[in-house]
Amino acid sequence: MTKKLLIVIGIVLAVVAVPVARSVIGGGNVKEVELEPVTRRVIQSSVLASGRLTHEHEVKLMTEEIGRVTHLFVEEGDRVTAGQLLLQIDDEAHRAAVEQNAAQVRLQEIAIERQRLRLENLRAQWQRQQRLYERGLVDEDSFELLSNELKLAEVDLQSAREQLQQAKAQLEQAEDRLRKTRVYSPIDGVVTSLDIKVGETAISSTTNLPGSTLMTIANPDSIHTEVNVDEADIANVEVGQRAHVYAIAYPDTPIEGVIESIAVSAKVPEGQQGLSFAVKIKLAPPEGVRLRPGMSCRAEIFTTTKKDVIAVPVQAVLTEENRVEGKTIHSVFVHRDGRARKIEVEVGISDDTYQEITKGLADGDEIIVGPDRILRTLADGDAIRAAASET
Amino acid sequence: MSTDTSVTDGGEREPRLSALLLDIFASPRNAFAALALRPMVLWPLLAITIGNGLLVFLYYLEVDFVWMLETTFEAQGRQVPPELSRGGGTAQAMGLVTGTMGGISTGIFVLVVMLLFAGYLSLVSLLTSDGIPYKRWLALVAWSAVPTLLDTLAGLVNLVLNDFTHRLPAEINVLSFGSLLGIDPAAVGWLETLAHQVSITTIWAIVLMVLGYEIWTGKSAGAALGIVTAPLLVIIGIRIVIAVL
Repeated sequence: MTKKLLIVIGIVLAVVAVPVARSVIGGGNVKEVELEPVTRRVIQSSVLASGRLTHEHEVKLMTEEIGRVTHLFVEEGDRVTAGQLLLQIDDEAHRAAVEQNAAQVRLQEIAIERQRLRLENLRAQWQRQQRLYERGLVDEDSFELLSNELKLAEVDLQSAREQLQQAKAQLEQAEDRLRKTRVYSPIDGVVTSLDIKVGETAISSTTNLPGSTLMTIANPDSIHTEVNVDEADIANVEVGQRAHVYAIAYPDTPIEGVIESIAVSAKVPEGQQGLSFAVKIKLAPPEGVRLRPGMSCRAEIFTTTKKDVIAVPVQAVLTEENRVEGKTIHSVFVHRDGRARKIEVEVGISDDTYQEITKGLADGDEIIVGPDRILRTLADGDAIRAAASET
Repeated sequence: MSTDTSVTDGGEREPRLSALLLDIFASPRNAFAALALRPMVLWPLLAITIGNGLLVFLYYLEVDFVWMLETTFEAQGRQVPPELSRGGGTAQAMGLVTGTMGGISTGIFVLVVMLLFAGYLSLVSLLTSDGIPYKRWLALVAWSAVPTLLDTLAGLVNLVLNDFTHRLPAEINVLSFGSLLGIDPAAVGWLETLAHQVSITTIWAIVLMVLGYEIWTGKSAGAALGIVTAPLLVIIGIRIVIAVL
């Protein structure tokens, strides 16, 4: 019985000894952490924004004259030059109108000539009658009647001249409408969109009504992007800064770009709530990348670049708000003699993965970068050991 | 070792609890021989059920519940719900409720597993016509599981001596293979999880059950091993299939 009791006691003691030993030695409270030495690197601080690709030189052609399209002289993708005839709208009615108005002008010119001859005749009659009237050979009533007729003839001539001006104006108007049945390219470029076919009716519009665009011509060399930069970030963005633009069709290919202009006033972009500034970025697409206007894209605008600075992974930097003093305190955990030591640091710029440390760390320091679940609860002085796979 | 048992008025040996406790560790053959005559099930069932439930309850009392939930979410590759971080106070109060519920449900779960295992052995009895009733099988299962109380004891000592505010449940049992082999307690792979769930005493319990089965039925050790471990192997097989799929 005693022997059995001793065996059981021995087993129980051995079992209890395991957690006791862990606690005494400290192994039970040693936290396994990921360590990384402090390094010097290049940090590019950047601002992210999204937008769409577009052509800087782009025109949407519309017609002012309603009519059936009789001829299309280009196809989508064709290269065109400024002044090239692109499209013809049925002009039969407009030609007739021009002829009609031209005839009207000629009729008015004839009427003027006729009126002028009548006036000359009346003037001669009046001069003769005046001499007779002065001799008393013609009564006063007859003379006044002729004088009145002469004045009316002068007014009629003036009226005919004005009617001629009116007819000429109408002719010019008809000729202008006839000219507008032919659509010419205003710029050198490529037909990027052809929205009408022969036989369809072109709708006149001056207010970009849907369906009124005949075709779009753009200069393919003027591809650029317009991204919306949040108002909180705009202070760091300047004309001339470099950017990497990622078109949605080429998500892994950074396209070099340079900021060309920044909008003066903020706007609320479509589909967004906050204010942002439109920033134009000129692009230099590499070989093999075919950018098309309308593509969605995101841009990483490099605002500041610092070389050879002490940097640590962003997840290693802990941030606390001191509301009493109204300041933000940044700190990192450094590995010192098997213990985690919390060091207050001052931070500089950062990129997606690294944070510049301007004060508090030195080359060769070994900092704790994870795992996150341990880093969140780590305290100054905690016993630590390096995780085998991470070192 | 007949000195470890008492004699009843009817002449049958009535096993004493203390003697059975000693025998199950030091002389299991004697323990099973005594249990064959008078199966005793209440005390080991109570001890194992309450012990496991208590361990879970005490863990939840100590652990930072918000941290534990966040860590569990992250380990499973899921996004931590933002309301979890913001509602820290509420989540901490939930920890006490969860601890109570978890303690009770763990106890019930352990009890149900033992009842089911005894049911399985009864079913085998029906098929093999060995005539052993359910209560005896339940006694075999319950007493074979007594060494797992060492897990509970070690876990309780571990909880008392070490700070468990930011430690996972898998770290409680210092006798588990996961703990002994230094496997990451946050690992979610099926093998790692199994390593944290199986301890030295689990193997001990299986060995005892095989031994008891062998003594009571007179079958060979190989047959006893096959019958006893069959359901465990099926469960492990299903977990492997699920993990692979």
